[in-house]
Amino acid sequence: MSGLLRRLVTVNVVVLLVMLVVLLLLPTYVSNRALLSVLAIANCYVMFAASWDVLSGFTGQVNFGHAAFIGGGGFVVGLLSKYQEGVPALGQLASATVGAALLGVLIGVPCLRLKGPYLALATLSAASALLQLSFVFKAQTGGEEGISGVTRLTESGLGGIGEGLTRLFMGAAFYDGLRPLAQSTYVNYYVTLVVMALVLLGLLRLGYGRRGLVLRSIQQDELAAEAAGVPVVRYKLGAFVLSGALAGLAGGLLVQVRGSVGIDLLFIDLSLLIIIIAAVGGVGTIIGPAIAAYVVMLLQLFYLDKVRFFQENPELKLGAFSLFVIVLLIVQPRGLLPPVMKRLNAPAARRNALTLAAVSAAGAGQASTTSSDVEPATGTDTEPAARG
Amino acid sequence: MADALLEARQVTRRFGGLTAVNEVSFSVEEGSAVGLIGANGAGKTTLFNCLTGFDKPTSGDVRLRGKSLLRMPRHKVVHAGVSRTFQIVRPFPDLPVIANVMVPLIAAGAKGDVKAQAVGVLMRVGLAARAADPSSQLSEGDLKRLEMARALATKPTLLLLDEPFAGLSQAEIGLLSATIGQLRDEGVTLVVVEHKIGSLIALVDRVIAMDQGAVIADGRPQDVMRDPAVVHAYLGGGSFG
Amino acid sequence: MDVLVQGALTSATLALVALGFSLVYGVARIVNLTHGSFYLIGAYAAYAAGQAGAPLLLAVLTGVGAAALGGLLLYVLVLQRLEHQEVALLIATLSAAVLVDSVVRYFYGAQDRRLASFADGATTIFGVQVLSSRVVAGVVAAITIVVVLSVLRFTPVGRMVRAVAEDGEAAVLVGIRPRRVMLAVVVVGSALAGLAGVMAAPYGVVNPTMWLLPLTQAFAIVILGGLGSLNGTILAAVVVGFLDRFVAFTFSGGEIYVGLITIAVILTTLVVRPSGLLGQAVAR
Repeated sequence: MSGLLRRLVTVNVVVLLVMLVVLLLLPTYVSNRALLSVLAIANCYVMFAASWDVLSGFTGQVNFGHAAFIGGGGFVVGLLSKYQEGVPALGQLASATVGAALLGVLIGVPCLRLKGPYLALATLSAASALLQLSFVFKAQTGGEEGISGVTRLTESGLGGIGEGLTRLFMGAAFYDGLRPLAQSTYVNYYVTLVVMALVLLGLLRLGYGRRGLVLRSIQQDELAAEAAGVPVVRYKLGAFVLSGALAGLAGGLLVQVRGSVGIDLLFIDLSLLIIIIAAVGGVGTIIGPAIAAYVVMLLQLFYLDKVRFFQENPELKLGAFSLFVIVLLIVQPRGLLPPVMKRLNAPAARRNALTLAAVSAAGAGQASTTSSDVEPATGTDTEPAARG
Repeated sequence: MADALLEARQVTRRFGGLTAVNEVSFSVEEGSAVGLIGANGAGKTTLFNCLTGFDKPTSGDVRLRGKSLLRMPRHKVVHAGVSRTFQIVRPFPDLPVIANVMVPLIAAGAKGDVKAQAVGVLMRVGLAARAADPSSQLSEGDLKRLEMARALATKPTLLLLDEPFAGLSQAEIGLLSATIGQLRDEGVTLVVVEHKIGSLIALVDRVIAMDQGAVIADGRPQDVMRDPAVVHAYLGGGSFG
Repeated sequence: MDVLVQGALTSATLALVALGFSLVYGVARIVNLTHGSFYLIGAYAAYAAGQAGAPLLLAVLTGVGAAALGGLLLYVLVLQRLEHQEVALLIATLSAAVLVDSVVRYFYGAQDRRLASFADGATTIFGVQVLSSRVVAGVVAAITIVVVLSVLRFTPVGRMVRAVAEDGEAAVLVGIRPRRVMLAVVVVGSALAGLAGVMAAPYGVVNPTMWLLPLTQAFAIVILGGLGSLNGTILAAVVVGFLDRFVAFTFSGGEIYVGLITIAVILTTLVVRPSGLLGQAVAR
């Protein structure tokens, strides 16, 4: 479609592409396996954060129980591994996605009329309820221990993609020379990277396209959106379902990477961590939370885990992040990245204004030729205000 | 005899003990322009909300071409061709002007270059030059025009305007009035709630006057303005253009 | 019968926590997700004092004082600065709750703790055997609630508070300083939660995650009763209190289900009647 080239030049997409290129080539230059393992997990967290953002950042329905979708998807994978051994990894992920999407409907419908604190409580409670349920069905879910021995990516068809990519970038000989555990590190890395890339690209296209604009309008003023003919209920619910489905997919993937699923995927800690990541990165930008997820994970690996205090007291890491976000909210509620992104996006906005002035000066009717140069979506012109 | 475009049948709206709208009935023919006047608290805005699907009458019916609006979800009412503006403007504050207009276009299922179409709508209300500005930067007059643009983008057959001239200078009123007049000439059916009677009369061929939730007069503007009941209702206190 | 007696006592302690939460919302318009943490702080501070050898009464005062201090810090450092930023407040207060959880976990570990009781053994009321500590807790809670409600209704201070709750800006015109009042309300609300925590500790659960259930229950109560209605809060507390004990007794190992049922209550109320039993209708 016309304007595609222009859209590709959007800063957000450029950032994403640069990021992807770096990540794809990373293993050829860096042989730190621990780093790759962390990055594989980080790729999943990126998806957690981005899926949260498409719901909470775009429609303004701030979800305090995102872990429900993540854990839900994860447990679908775990339970399938335990009870239906014949299901391949891809099938497990598909089921996790569908299951989480259904959960999205289940949670989204009661939440349609809720706002702010009511919504926060409802979503918080939903995640909490799921956690309680996992204890009620201890026998199946394994209670505190969870389920281990989940189908790993390496043992599956999906892993084949990872294997293929490793051979491609690192050389076939390299791959064959590795021990199985090391092989799985690379497979996990590449598979999560590919899935994440697809998810992010899809979300960007959605977020900065027509539907994204409509979603944003709902957050700005729901009543006005209705007056404009927007089927608000459909969009709000749709956002819940999409957010849930993607989080469930990522949760399932994470479980396949780890090889086990535990109740930690349903904790309020996880929900809060995602919110923190999104708040830091900039709510409503998709890319912001994605980058923040990497930053947080890498910060953990390189800094926090090296500090003895945190090595001895891992539970304090979340406490540290909590403290950090409190300070951040007091000082700079919009997050760290939006001010930066705004400055980067400014040239595009100015360019737009000039073209439009030319259009209006030219009068009616002839608009079509010049406007194809104008970016179709306005997401780049404004930084949506991060509510907070 | 074709159904009137809009028909209110015994519309009543009660809030607890207060009856805001009391058995109001009237019909609006396609292509006509109707003014709705009344003192503050006469029930105009409540009636307005009932007519546009933003509030549900306690009893009575509202029909669009014979079909009841009451059970339609709000966005369907808009898609059926009924659009409204808000008395206190409700733009999408953090979105640029053009995005404000793109949203209703997208919601209406516009194909192709939505941005260009939005520019077209903005040109009709004279806001094209400010397309890239955030709507929060607009003056009151411009915001009213933006409201109008948003309503226009839904391609309405029936347009209901809630106090479009409130808070505007004489010059701004003139501009907006011209745009509204153009719409009327194009065949859009109008229902306009307004306090500024002078400016209203120029646009409409029929006036309905309300007082305390009921219709007290309905007819040609000059007749209604001279109707003793109307004069009586206003001498006591309501604001008057 | 069991349920009735136990339910009444539980309702009282729940009402105490909910009252604090409701006051903070009604007066300062803040949904304080850290509220449950004050319950926790009360319990742990009392525990610490007890470990250090303090006599019972002093331990109780320490617990309440620590909670009040926590409220003060929270208001000054966080709540005051995020005024009117609803989402930021929600995130910040939740983060604070998690922060407190982490810190407590660090100092005391994750296992449950036991607190010395105020009254050992059991008493018999209306033919039902109840832990004496539960009775003490219920009675203390009930008395405190009556005191607080009376202060609000009959004293000049109470009138000031109610003025701010109704219209903060108008209150300024009458010479009241809303911020001061809000601070006081937050401190008192936290103290109430802390008191409940101290009282409930001997027979209840004391561990780093003990903040979530009281918060959920307080929120459930306030929503069920109607935000902004103190009478509604009391009424709802009775309902939730009885429900709590009913569930615990009816299902074997019932304590697990309490959380779930409470949540079900919340979700049902939010969907069916968001304004609660006695609250004003929520604007569409």
